[in-house]
Amino acid sequence: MIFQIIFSLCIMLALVSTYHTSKKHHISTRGMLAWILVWIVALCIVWLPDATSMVAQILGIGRGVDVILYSAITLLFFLLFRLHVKLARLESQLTVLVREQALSEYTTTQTKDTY
Amino acid sequence: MLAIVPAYNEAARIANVVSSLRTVVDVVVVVDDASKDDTATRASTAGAVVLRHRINRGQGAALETGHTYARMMQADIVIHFDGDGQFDVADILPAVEALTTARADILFGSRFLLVDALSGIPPFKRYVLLPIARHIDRIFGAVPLSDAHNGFRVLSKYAIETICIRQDRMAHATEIPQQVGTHHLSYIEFPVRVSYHEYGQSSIAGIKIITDLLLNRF
Repeated sequence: MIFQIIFSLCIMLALVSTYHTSKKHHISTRGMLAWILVWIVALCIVWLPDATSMVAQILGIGRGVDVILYSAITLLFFLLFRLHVKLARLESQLTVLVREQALSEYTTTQTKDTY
Repeated sequence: MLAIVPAYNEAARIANVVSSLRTVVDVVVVVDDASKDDTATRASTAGAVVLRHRINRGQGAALETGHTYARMMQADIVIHFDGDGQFDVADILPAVEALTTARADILFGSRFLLVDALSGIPPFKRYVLLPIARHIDRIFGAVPLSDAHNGFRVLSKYAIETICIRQDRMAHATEIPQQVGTHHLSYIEFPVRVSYHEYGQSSIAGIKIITDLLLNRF
């Protein structure tokens, strides 16, 4: 029971923070809905752990907890990969900006010198 | 003839490097990669064109900034030269001559082509790090070179227009021979002397390069 209450509180916090992030336009409405869905599913699992056993039986995995673990890890890796790709793109865009600024700063000082 | 010197916190040596380069090449471009010391001022006082990165982006990024400038200036020959005084400017003119005689597109400096220069390489670097680096470069599709990751290069106009460095950090040293392969550029190697200071790249830096190369696959 204690476990369920603690987890529920954590999930509530996550939900509130998701809502606020989307309100500040840091994530899209679609992104917000996806995350809210994730947290609601998590909430259901916390309160109805037996539901996962049903899914486990359909998929042929031993225990309900294992289903959660497998899918959570897969999802995490997928998100990590997406995050990495995004970060790499940001890094290279940053380099392009820094380069352009370095070159334009040099050319402006040069033109100032000539006058 | 234009020399590109990527520099990060090289205030102690940059002025010497710039003034000795100026005796050999027409333009010295120092790309200051957001140094915390006064590398930029010293380089500019010594007579270099200084391009300043506001944020540190790595040696590969600095070289590509130099390339962009070289393309703007229509430079016919570009030299990559380290800012820490490791290389000898006396190697430049013979190297450029070797490149033009061979009608090659790019020249890579090598520490392994001079018998008397070999002894100067620290043993761990010579027998362990560099051979490993050579094999890794081959795995990533780089053209075979006797010396992996030597910062001394001479590029023809065609090579400058063809090669585009996307590896911002140290993995550019593998990326350049990779692109030589994919763009079918002709290349030669040339013996250069390298003097070692206490600092330099560690084995951990090597791991970082491999990670960069692997991640670049995505």
